[in-house]
Amino acid sequence: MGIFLTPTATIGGEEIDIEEAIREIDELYRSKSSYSEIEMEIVTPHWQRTLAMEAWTIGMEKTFIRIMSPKKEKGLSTLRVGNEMWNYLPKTNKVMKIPPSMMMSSWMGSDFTNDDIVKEFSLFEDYSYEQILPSNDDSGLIYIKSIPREGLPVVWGYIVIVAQEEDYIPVRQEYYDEDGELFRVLTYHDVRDFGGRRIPATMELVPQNKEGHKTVIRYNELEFDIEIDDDIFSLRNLRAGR
Amino acid sequence: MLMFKIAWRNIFRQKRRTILTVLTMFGGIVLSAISIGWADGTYNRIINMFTRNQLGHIQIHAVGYMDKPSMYKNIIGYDTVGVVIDETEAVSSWTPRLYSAGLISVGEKSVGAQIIGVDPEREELATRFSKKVIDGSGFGPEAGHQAILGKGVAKTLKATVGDEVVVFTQAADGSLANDLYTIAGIIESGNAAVDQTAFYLHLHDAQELLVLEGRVHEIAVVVRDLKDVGPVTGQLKDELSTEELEILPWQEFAHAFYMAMKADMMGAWIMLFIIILIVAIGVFNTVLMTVLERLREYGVLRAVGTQPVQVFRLVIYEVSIMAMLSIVVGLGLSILANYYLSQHGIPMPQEFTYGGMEFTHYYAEVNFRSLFIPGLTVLLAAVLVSLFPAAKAARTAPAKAMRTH
Repeated sequence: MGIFLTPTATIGGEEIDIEEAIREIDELYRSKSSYSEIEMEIVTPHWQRTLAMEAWTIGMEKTFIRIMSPKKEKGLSTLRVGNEMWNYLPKTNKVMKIPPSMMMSSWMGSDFTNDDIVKEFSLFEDYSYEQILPSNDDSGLIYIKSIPREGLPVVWGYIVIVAQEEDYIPVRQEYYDEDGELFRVLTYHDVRDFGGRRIPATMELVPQNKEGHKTVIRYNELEFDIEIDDDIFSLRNLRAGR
Repeated sequence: MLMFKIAWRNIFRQKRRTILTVLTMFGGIVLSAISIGWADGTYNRIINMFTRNQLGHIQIHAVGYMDKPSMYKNIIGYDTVGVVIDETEAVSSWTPRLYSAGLISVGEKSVGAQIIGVDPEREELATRFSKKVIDGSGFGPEAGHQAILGKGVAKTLKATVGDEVVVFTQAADGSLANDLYTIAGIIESGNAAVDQTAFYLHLHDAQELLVLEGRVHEIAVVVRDLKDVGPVTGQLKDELSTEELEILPWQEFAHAFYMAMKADMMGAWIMLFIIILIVAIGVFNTVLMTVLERLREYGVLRAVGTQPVQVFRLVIYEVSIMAMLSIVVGLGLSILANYYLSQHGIPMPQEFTYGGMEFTHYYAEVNFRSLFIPGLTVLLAAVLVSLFPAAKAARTAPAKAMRTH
């Protein structure tokens, strides 16, 4: 295949700083706090549906997501604090804690797992990384292979991150399992300006082992570093289920 | 005919020798008849225990479900399939089931579970469902938002009868389904691994939850007798559309179990072979000794003009008559012994309950092969091993034989 492994490389005479690239990709969606309106489209061979939801985050620690539509699922919510996760089920008015054994299961029927929602890793701190230059080099793209550090509880062996050379905005992430087999691809599209940040507004996750499945997440609105009441991230609020 | 008469008289001339030979063969017959009857009885019981507990003798799924189970590979209009099953000879009962997975929760605790939708009345006939319920009343005949938890699940959730249980899962249309049920019972199926994840709902409740109205994933068929499995499977394959449905006997859907049974049965046959071998050696020994002992007698026979072939026949006749005697008496006793063991059995050192069935005794079975195989083998073995002594008797040189002693 002809893949060179070099810590830094020169493309078009310009030095690329991998560390800087990783740091920027890492920070892209991160903020002290955020509020967003998201559309999640799930496609399977048997059905296709779109969920609209609102999400609040504080740092890397806390996430609160509430489904707004369709009607049948309205009010269904997920609260994450650290590594713990709860779902609120409006029909039965119950809060259900997600047990550790279910972390690899689908989150809200999508191709994302509960684990994807819970786990917040810093590429910069939790991964070692190296630049790889595929022989079929699409010009203007950099390829970074990120290997999770020993003992990090993830199911993949490594991730290949593809980003634009000029602004380090991610284009694609390829997830490989421990045998080096590609098992899912996350692609980024539609770079838009949200409060001064340029961010891909659409993410498409395609699992490679389930034919005809994909999940698309679209940010319709995204605000960073706003005032958020910490009470939002409480079980009491989850249970209130407005 | 003359030789036969002499053979008959010879048998009663030396009573002790005859009794010894007959006893050897008789012992072999009874021993092997009981071991076959015993093995068959035990295997049939284990197979019945295994299949009647949960699996059924024959299973029907949508094509492809067994290879890769999916919620969408289901049987539409299972009641029309049921009508065909009911019309099939030798079918005792059938029961539909719906399977899915979900998250269930009681109070603060939650766990992943297998959702199993069952028809309580049919399940009762097919697998004695209510006998497995160790706590609580079980399902009523109508769907009433009740659930029955496997013992292990109930333990993990610290749930008791009467508690409310929440289910969260994805329905067939992709929607996120959740509903509330009352625990109507705790079940112990005898399979701890199953009880660790089993969450039973009334079929109609499960169909509603999963948006799979009128559909099931599995139909388990129970036949009257184990030997009906083959014919019924064949008939169902003829009557039902095999393009849509996969109809498998227990030997195929529980292949690992079938192979284990077969291997075990192989062991029983080796045991039987050893018993027959011991009998054969015993007969050979006795017959050879009788011949050597009576060389003088054969010498006289030869001297008065008996042909070698007649002497040969004489020995074979004697052995055959003794073998027939042992077979008649031996099989008579074997029938009695196997019948007794099939009725009363032998108590197990430790009694146990599996899937609502109590196991306290080992039982034998009276069947044709447990009599036919030992009888035929002993007769053949006896004749076969006496060929050499008979030939030796036939070859006796008169003068030399009469000089000894």
